[in-house]
Amino acid sequence: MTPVIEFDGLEVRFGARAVLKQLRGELRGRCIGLLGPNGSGKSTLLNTLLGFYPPAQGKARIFGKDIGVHSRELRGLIGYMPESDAFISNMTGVHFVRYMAELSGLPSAQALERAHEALFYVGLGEVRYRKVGTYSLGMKQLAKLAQAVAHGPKLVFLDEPTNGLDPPARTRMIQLIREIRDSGDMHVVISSHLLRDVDECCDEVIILRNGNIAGICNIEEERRLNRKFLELETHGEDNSFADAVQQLGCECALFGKGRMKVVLPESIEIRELYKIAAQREVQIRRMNYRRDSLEDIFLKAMEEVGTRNGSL
Amino acid sequence: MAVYKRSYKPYEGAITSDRWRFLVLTRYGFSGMFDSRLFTGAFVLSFVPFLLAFAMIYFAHSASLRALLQVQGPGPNVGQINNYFFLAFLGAHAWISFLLITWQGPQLVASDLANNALPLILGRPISRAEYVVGKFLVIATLLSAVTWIPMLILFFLNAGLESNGWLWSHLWLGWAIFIASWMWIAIVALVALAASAWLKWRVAASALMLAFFFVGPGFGAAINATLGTNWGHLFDVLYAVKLIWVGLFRVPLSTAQQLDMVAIPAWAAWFTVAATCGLSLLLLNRRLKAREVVRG
Repeated sequence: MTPVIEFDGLEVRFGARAVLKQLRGELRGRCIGLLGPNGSGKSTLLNTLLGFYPPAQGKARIFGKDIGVHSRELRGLIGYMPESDAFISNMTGVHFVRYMAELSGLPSAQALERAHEALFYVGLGEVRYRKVGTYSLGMKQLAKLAQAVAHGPKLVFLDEPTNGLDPPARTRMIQLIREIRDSGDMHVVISSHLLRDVDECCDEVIILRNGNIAGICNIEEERRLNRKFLELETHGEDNSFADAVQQLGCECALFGKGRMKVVLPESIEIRELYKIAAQREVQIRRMNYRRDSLEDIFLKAMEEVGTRNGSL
Repeated sequence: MAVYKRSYKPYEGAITSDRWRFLVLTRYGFSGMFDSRLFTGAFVLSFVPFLLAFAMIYFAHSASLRALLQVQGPGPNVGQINNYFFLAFLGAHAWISFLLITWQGPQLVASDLANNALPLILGRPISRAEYVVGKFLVIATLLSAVTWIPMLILFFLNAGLESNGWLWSHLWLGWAIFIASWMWIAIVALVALAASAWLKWRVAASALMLAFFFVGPGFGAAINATLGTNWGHLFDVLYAVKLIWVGLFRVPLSTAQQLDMVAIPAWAAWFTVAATCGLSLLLLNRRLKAREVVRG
């Protein structure tokens, strides 16, 4: 399958300063999270993929097409929701979304129909004849999403989509993004510094740090790998319990006060732990499945100085 | 899909021609301009001089109409429909078009820049050049409707009423109308777009436009007075335009001297016009970007 996005030594410079440095990697997820601290190059990367900044070196491909050569064609396949306010204040919602859809190539009548549909879809149907300038912040975010998806793009870039939203509006936005992702018609790239947003929507993340790729991680794969990772809290002779667990074939680490982490091989069931505990009169007071949270993955990537690419 | 089906559906319909996509910008530009009823009214009123001139040409050629209306005295002379007539008409309509564009022209780009809509537009299959052409066409079409199109209608009306080979002997006048009008359209349109791109705020952009056309003559006059030269007219776009018009409409040298239209050579006037257009394009190139690049 052709990767959604490929980087082949991509470098972007503003004057003498390299903002994106020799990026290499492939992204194949349905919903891709673009993570990184402020100033790490997330928005620059999106803008480069949109053709706003020319690469100083290297290439990037979207759906196998070079962004430098097929920029115009690719922009017809992409929907873009910028981070900051972006609208035409004296246009009504439906007029604005129709205008954007027509610029993407939809004939006038179809653009009007799709504008109505997109605005209803994001929940702005009732206010679609109001001028965009009179919308609240949350409504403006939704209007930006509507214009990004109205023309039926194959890939949509959402730059900080939940910026400035209150909790209900954020939940609504995340729900919409997941619906779009699950529709199967569109790939989504979400740039965010909010790990929770990315965690709730994405199946793959790319983490940027100082213009480098600190890591590319398939979250779904990580979750599967960490399925047998347990956190235990015990009361009793925990050292002998830990020894027995290790003899069983598990990896085990003690953290004092009866806390331990255990990695169970596929062949071992949890009830084996209960049996050992019963034999040694150890109480298991708490047992949690634990997977590396996105926060762990992110922090690990941030610690790995100099890592350019590869799985975490 | 009906609007009540509120789930996302992909679009699988037709796509418009990529080559002419920029005309969407033009169409929406027109729509935005004529949103104002006041502007629409002013635009309609701008055709009054044309209708008067049309009536005058017809009246001048129709002895029966003059007799029917029992007009006393000589009435308009056929000989008065000449290069001076068309030059005066162009001058009047140039002012009307200038006022129309100063009023509504700056909103074309300013409304896109004011709330950062440019990344949305340029994030689609529209280049910066196409964006400028699309917006330019709005002003060019509007100004064409009040400059060279009505003037050529008058020209051909007069040619039809004159017969006797008037059209062929005055073909140069038709070209003069066309070239002089387009030169004016190019200057006004580019300055309007550049002003609105630079200031974003429509009212301020209109003020900048007025300042450009009226501060220039003052600055030029100050240079002329201070240095005892005529080269200050290089800063006066209106003077340069008039000087070129006088040449294009073949106004005799004696009359041009009476009108003080010989202070700088024609090439210098063309230079001023070209520099104005070039500067405007340079400003547009600097300002119309999807993203500002902060160089470090």
